[in-house]
Amino acid sequence: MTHFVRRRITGLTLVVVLSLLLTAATRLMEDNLLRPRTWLGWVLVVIVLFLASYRLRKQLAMLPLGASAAWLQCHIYVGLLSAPVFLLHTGARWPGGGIEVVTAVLFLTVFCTGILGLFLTRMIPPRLTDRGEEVIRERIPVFIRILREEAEASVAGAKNAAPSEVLSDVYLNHLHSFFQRPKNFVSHVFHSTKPRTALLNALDDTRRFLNTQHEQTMEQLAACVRRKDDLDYQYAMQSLLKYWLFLHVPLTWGLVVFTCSHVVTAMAFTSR
Amino acid sequence: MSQASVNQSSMDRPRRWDMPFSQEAGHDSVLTDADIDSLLANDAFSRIDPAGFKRSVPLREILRNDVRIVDFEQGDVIVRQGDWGSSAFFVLSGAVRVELDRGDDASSDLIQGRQKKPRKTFFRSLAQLWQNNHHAEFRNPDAKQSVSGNLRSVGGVTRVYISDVSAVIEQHKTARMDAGHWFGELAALGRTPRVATVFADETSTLLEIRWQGLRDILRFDRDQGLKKYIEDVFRERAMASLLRTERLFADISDQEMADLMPHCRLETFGEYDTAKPFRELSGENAGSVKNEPLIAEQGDYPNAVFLIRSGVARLSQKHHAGRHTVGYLNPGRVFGLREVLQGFRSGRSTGYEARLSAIGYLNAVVIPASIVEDLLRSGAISDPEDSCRPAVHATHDAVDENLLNFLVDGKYVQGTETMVIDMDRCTRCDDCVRACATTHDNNPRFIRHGPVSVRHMVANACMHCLDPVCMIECPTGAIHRETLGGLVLINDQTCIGCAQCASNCPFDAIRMVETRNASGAILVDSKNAPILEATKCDLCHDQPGGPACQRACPHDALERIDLQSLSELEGVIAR
Ligand code: SF4
Ligand code: SF4
Ligand code: SF4
Repeated sequence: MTHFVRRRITGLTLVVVLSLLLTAATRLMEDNLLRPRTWLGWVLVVIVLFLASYRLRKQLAMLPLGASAAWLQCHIYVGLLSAPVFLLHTGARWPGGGIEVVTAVLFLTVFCTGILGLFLTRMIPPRLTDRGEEVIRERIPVFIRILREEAEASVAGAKNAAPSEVLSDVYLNHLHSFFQRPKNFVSHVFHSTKPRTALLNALDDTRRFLNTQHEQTMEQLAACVRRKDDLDYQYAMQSLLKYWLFLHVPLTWGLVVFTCSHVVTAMAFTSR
Repeated sequence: MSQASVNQSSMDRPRRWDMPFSQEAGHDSVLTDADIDSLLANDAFSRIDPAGFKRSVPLREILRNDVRIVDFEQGDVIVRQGDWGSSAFFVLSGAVRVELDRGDDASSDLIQGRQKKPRKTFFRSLAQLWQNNHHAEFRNPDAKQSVSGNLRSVGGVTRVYISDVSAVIEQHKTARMDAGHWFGELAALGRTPRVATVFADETSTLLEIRWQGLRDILRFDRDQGLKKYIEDVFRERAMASLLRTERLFADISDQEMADLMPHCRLETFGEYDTAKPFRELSGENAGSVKNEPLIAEQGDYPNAVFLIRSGVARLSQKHHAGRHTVGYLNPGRVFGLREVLQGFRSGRSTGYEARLSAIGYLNAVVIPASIVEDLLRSGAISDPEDSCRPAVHATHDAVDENLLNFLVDGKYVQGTETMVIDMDRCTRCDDCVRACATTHDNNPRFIRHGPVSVRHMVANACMHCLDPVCMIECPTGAIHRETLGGLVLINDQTCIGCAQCASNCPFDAIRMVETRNASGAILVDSKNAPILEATKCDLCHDQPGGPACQRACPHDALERIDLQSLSELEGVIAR
């Protein structure tokens, strides 16, 4: 068993055991006419603040605050534990009151985006490694420009040969916009190769109208299409890996604000 | 440059002596026939027999092309302790002084262009948040000026000089070397760090010889006078401690060591011309075991044991029509001992298990097998049952042959802190890059990009190589090793932005950056040219938590790995 598998099993076991213990404690408190919800509320506040503090750890890279990887592991498993605590705190019922509803909605969306992020960060990297060359996302537009120039140069034809009209038409009708910027985001996210196949088919269909030299040009164009499609794939997947954080992080700050408001109103209410 | 010359598709193949040493950057004296005659009459070369030299490499041409005559003013620093040597010196006239202090002395650091940065405390690290200038690469021009006061420019070469020689002689233990002495030859041949700082005691003229020329003289001189001299120096200063690094010889008595040493030879292999051919080696010719200089052939009778002093060697075995890499050996590792011991035990000799070839360049001590057997027979050394360190790494499951080839061919096995990223775990979040920028003048010291083997990327970050060729030719000693064999660091106060290190680094790990003042304007000199500085990964040596990039990676993807053995890498892969 590898270190990572062992770590996963330990983390999940801890989450399950703690959830069961918390459930048992809640039952016990209820049986003794104590108010476990308030107590669970405070546990949830601590959990939310701890989860949000991971962002601060990232900002303070210069401090010896422990490895980010260790923080992330705690972030994941404490995040998972937050779900049963939330259910116990709310009694698995939809809350009343404006602030409470917004807090609950924020909690659930932050939790779901967290799970989505976990899934994406585990699924996408090996796929990126498998397909196309490794590229830095910010450099992709530059590589696209280079590919576009290469494709346009091959359509324009070699020095002494006239360009093929058929290929020029295909380029203008199908490839010109394809080579302008990253394309087919949604298809790539869903791993569909339809757009790529369609473009390659459009090129291949011209074969019967081409002489040997133009056929070579067509092959070069097809190679450019494949490379551009790989770049698009890298762009889409790397963007996905970045974009989910644009949901998760701002929502987390929203959750912190509403959690505080909820605490203040709840305390005001109970002290009345 | 004319249009025609830029477009021409062929050129004369560059040859070894296209650029004589005496005309390399900053030197433009040409050695005339009269100069060479007078050199040949000098003690340094008078006993060498020119008849033993190959027709393609005659002694006169070696002197003409691999030697230069350099004048030094009193106080000029000639070599600095810790610099990587690639040439040796002979005092023709005048005298030099060798600094014998090896302590952590501040004035000595200034002479050497070094800088000691203490590790930051927790609060000083935190204070970086508001104290650091928010512009990238901010430098305080005053701090730089105070050190450049000790620089002088001679021809095109910048030299550090000691302004008060008598004070240094008073405060430090030094020894004077008059005309007729060699120095720096061991570091030059072994491509090892200089062990002492040497400066001119008075106006002096020195002969400087490239290590390639020195190597050829040692190889072809029938008289063997110079070779004997160098080997004697090596035996006197370094051989015993090197031999004792091998477990087998660790405990032999001083007398036995004294008996053993005269039989051992110091040999260099390979055509390692400064950094440029190394660059080429790590580029187009990568992977061609065929082109590597052979040291010992698989299956041959094991008549010697090789103890590697510097450089890296490849172990390969025959496989059908080609060869596959089965491992590599770094300094301190031995080759051939296993076979010699097996032969001794069984009374039947077995050939070498693998071919040993130099990856570019290698310096090794060669111990004749018969001597090892004599020592075993006499009981001076005992046959270790576990057969010493294995010569051949079994290609372990975790590090498959593909990855091993990638590391050896790309010369990444040089790295003691190689940045390896597992691309199957890396989410391309750039937290590592941001952490590096936060801790280093708002500009990351590495690029999260580099060659990939299946799923492992060797990122473009300084690997703190075992043999840091970037350190050769730095005129001020600004690029240096923290301790012998330690981190490779750049002192930003003594870096003059000449870019020698950046062009020498075979891995493009050093970048020249434009420096800025507090208001963010680019610093320029009197001719309006930007003030550049070399920057690279310093392994966060002054940060309290260690490498920020590694600590910042949330997915356990980025690791700094010592590739001197495969065990660390195996550990990381098997996680
Ligand atoms: S700068 Fe280059 S040659 Fe020098 S230690 Fe770093 S990687 Fe090696
Ligand atoms: S060790 Fe430090 S300086 Fe080097 S790349 Fe990592 S963060 Fe940058
Ligand atoms: S921090 Fe880790 S996961 Fe993120 S880009 Fe760097 S190596 Fe990859």
